[in-house]
Amino acid sequence: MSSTRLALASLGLTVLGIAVAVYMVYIHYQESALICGVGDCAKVQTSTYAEVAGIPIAWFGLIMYLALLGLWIGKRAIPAMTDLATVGTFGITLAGTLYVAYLTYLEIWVIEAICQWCVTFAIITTLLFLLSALQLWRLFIATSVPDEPS
Amino acid sequence: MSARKSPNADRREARRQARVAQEQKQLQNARRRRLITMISGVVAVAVIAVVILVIVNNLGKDDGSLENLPAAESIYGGVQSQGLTLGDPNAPVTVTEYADYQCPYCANFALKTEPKLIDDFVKTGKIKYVFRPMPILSPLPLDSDGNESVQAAEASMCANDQGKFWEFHHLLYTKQNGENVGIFSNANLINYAAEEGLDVTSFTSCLNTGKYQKAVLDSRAQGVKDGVSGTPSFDINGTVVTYTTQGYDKLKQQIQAAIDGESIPK
Repeated sequence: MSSTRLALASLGLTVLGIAVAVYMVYIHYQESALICGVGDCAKVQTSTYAEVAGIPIAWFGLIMYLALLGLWIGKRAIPAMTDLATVGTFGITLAGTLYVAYLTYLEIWVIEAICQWCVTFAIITTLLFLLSALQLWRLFIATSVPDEPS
Repeated sequence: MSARKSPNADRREARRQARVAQEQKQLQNARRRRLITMISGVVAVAVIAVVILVIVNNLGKDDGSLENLPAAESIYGGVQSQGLTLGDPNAPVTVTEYADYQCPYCANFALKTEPKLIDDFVKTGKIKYVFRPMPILSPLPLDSDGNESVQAAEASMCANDQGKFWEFHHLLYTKQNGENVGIFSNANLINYAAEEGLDVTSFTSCLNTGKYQKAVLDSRAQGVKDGVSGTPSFDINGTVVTYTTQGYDKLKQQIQAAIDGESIPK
């Protein structure tokens, strides 16, 4: 994948992540029914695990994606930021991926319910992590200077 | 004819180029070292941040534990009851709960919120409170053996034959532990009846003959007709409302509106 395509794919996923996070923040504040429908219990959104210290998890997701967008823009606007932005993006998406892995574990084994928007969010975050790892690897290779032949 | 460079000039140029290459290599090496330091730093920060988030997420968590909650005796003891109805039969407002014994929200409501509702509205004579089974959570046909939502509801009515509906209702919710996993198999329901001190022979006969299957299915049909779309739902003097994330505060407001003769906020 060329650098341009890689960058565009990262931007696309970041924008998608912001959209999903905005929607999840929105539905968190909706007065939703605390009920079981036929054959299904809408457990995840209303789970006590949907908040950390009173702050909806969806906010963390939104802040994370806005930071990623800021780094994406910063990397292109200020060439001196390339290393910092690439490593920063890798670090943020690594934390995001570890956290969504934990949340997915909670959904499957603790809450015993899967929320489709959470799964979408987890997939986007994991893909972004893989792309950022690839970008970081390329940057790392680019800094290698082969020894001159003796 | 161009002037040929002297060997000294060539050597100087070569040295200059070597120096530049060396400086570039040093710069690249320094950048590489800086990158490695930064990567190590962000990986450490990322892992620590996630560990902190996970710890905070688990702190003081209401894990849905249904232990250490009021016992049935302290909730229903001394409250006038007739079958599936609690409270003064002439109370001006009737609140009918539609619930499924397999529904975790219903268990949460019955064990944690219902005692408050009984204290606030039933014991004070403001409402009469009716329970109606609304079996919706089993994937099996309603009339098939193994439909745990229907079986549990039938069992509660069999317990009612022995005047222990509310006690058994409470016990069923305390037994809840997953949906359609055998918790409310007939064998387990009979064990629960024994635990509650019911006459097991007549309870078993009641359950195995499907004495109340039609009553349970009729109750569900009535719920569907009334527009109940999930459990728990409440019919407050003819207006059906669902239980929301605003919890008991909202339900209290809705019941109070009915008592005050006002329209019930959805």
